Order: sequence, then C-alpha cells, then structure tokens
Amino acid sequence: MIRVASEPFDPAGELKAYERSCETAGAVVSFLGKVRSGSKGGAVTALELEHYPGVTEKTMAKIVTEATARWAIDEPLIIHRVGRLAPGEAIVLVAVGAAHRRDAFEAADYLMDYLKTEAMFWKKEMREDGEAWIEPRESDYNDARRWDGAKDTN
Amino acid sequence: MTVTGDVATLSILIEAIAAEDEALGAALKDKSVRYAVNEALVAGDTAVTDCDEIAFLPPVSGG
Repeated sequence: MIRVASEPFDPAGELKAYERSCETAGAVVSFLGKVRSGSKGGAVTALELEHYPGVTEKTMAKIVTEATARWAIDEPLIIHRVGRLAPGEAIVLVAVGAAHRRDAFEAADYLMDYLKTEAMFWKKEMREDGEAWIEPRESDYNDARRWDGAKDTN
Repeated sequence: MTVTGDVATLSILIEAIAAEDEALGAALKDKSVRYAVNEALVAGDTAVTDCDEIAFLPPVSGG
C-alpha cells in the first residue's frame, strides 16, 4: 500500500491498521521519518515537499516490487507526505510485516534507502535565514549501494 | 523559450536549449539530472516529439 498524502496523517493509527492487516505476520517493523527542528543552517521553520504526480507513485511501486521479490514479506505500507510540513510532523511511515523479524528489518531498511535516493520527492527547508533545497548526502547513496549484489533472500 | 529545428531526441533538445540559454543548458546537462518522457524515466538518446511530456528531474530527496 503506497500513499502520497497531502494532509497530515496519524502514524500510530496507520501502523495499528497495518498490523491488523498482517494477519499471519510474526513481526512488523516500522520506521517513522519526521521533520527536524534544526539543521546546519539554523532553526527550521518548515519543510516543503514536492513530488511528480504519477511518476512518484511509479518509482515507489518499483521499490516495493523489488523488496517484495527479495524478502519474504507481506505487502509493505508506505505513506509519504507532500506539501508544507511543520517541525515534528511525520514525513514518511514505512511498515513491513513478515513471518520472521530479519526479513522485516532488512526490507524496511531497504525501502527507506531507496525512498531517499530513487523515489521522486524534493525537499526544501525553510529556515530563519533563508531556504535551501535538500540533496541526498553521499552517505545516502552509500546506504543504497549496500544492497547491490547482496542477493541473499534469507 | 521556443526551440525550433530538427529536435529528434532528448540530447538534441538539451543542446537546443543550451544554445538559447547557456545557464539552463548547463543545469540540464548536470550528471545528477534524470529525464522522464511521458512519465517514464528514460536515457538521453530517447526520441521525442512535440506532443511528449518531458521532465528534467534534479536529485531527489525523499524519505
């Protein structure tokens, strides 16, 4: 289940509903990404998230397809915000149900790495001293590259 | 900006834009920029026509 949300969502409620839908899962791993209240450039007043409707959903679906082929997991849940977000607000929720915890942990980690480097979203930080587009850090690309070649599905 | 002439592929389109606007051309040629034609991610030598939706995509920063 992939959702691009233009309004705030309730991570706890969404996770509870997802957990219920994973009837046979023995493990559910989740990750919640939130808007930071400060960065190198000073206090963050807001975060603006843009996407490319149609293409964004396709890039997300591709990432999910790859994760589902690679690990023994249930259909993951991904909710990603767009629009103007305040510090502390939820940006992204990823949840993965699986029979066993290792698959759930690894698939959630993989989904986040590729959401950061492949999914079509753009972040702009609004700070007290101006605004700045955020680009992925080298470490984000390195994180995503960890999965290259590691084809072990267990 | 209007680009005229024989623009058969994305790469040729980028060159045509660069001829009109050097700074924009340089931005589009940045290695980190990806392309989409009609909502599908493609390479630079992809054929394009007047009716295509073409997008130049800067580095993403989701998650």
